[in-house]
Amino acid sequence: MATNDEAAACKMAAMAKGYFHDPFLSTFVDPVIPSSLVLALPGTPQRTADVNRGTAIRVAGVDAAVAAFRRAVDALPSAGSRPPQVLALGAGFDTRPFALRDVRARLLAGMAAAAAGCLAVVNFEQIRPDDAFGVRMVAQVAARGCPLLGLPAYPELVDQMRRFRAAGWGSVEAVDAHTFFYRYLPPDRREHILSRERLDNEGEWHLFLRHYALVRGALDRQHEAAGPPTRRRCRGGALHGGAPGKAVADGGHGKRVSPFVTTFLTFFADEGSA
Amino acid sequence: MGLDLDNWIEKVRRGEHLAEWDLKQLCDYVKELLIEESNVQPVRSPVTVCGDIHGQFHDLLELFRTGGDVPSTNYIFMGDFVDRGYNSLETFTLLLCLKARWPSHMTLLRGNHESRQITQVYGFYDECQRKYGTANAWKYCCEVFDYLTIAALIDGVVLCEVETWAVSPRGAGWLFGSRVTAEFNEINRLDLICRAHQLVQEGYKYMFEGDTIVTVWSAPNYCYRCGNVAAIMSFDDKLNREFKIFKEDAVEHSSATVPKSQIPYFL
Repeated sequence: MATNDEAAACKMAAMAKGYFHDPFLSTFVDPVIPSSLVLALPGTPQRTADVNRGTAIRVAGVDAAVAAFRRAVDALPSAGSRPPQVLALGAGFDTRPFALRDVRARLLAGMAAAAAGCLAVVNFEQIRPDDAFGVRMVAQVAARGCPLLGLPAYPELVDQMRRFRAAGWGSVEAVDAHTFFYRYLPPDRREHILSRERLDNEGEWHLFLRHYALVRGALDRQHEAAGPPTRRRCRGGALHGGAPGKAVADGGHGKRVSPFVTTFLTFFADEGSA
Repeated sequence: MGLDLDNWIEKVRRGEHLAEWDLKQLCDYVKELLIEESNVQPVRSPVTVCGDIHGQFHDLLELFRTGGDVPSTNYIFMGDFVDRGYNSLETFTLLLCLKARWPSHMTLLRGNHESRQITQVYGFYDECQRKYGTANAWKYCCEVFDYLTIAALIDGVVLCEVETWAVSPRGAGWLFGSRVTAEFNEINRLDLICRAHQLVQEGYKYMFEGDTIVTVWSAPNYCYRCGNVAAIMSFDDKLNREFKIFKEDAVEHSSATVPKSQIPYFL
């Protein structure tokens, strides 16, 4: 089963249970019928409650990044002069079983190299393949035809950050999905997700969430800080690196800070989420 | 008593389920036994305490290999026999057979999954429907659920009980703290509370300093994905404690038993 098909099925299953609303779904179905009703028809994919929650968290993570991107664009002095663009590369990443690692690395690096102005990226994927849960996750997902080829090379949040910086992304943040959900997602959205369906085993749920990561990177060619990025761990469990943000020390280089970068990445700052 | 228990035990151990009529007789008989028990059933040591099984039948067989067969070992099972795993029917049937055959050596407590509502959501109802073709078997089992004991008290000082403690919604701690537990134990002259229903990767875990409350979890590689080990807690006749750890059974967790398409992750 191709990864992008599975991701789409997960999304449909979660939407049918009311986890989130996709306003664009109606362009593909009869606009008179509410999309959530259409999805409740027989044949709609179904997934277990924890998978539905996870899908909703992934959607929320990307939504948050897009919102932060909008704010970051508005923070630029040239705001309004050129329309910002959002590229959704989606789950099509993982469909090819060969050369995937190279494709993604080249894509990440290529995007950074080609950037003339400001660029931001968000990535949501599995981590921690080496513990008891992770070993089985990797094997079982691979057995379903969706090998997670990048995962062994970037097992931890620090490795994900290293990967993005190696690809030319000067400033990077990473949290696991558990931290994102319980610390950074606004409480009303979290409560909405938690209240859709019940789970019978909380311990399993927390374990599950800790095996996904949300990584964000930003760069601004006009404001690149000189010198090596500094790395600080924030209280909330987010890792920051690169251009100084509100919660991260400058490291003494005293360079001009890009408002784009600090606005985009300060979503995870300790001083509070937007 | 008219029940062919030894044959039934052998049959179920092979992984077969009983004929519907036999299951009904078994359930009726066990209900009669359970009626005689107290809500807090006194149990004498030596005894081995077990946590959730959740339909992982071959892992239950491994549990007995680890802890010893009934009746040479006495057992308390703290509920959650069914749901989530794929062999809840054989799991519960075997436990019922053992209860019927050696009533004073087996104590079965009611977990939150021993309920009509929960079993319709988490798999036991569907499994019974699939294996018997009707809902009757599920109904008979649910009637037994209603009669299951709530708690067991070992030698008057070790309480085994169904989940009554609330976990913080953040998953980061407990709403009832160690001080409250210590006070509870002191007031009730308890040495220890055993509980289940919370996944612990190491199979067992003392929740607070002072070892006042312990979680025992007996379903290895829970839901075929968590990768945890399982534990049972053995008390000798002096109430000395020993934890016995066991891992997942290869048969239960092979891809033949667990359909590949069913293991849930999201991408």
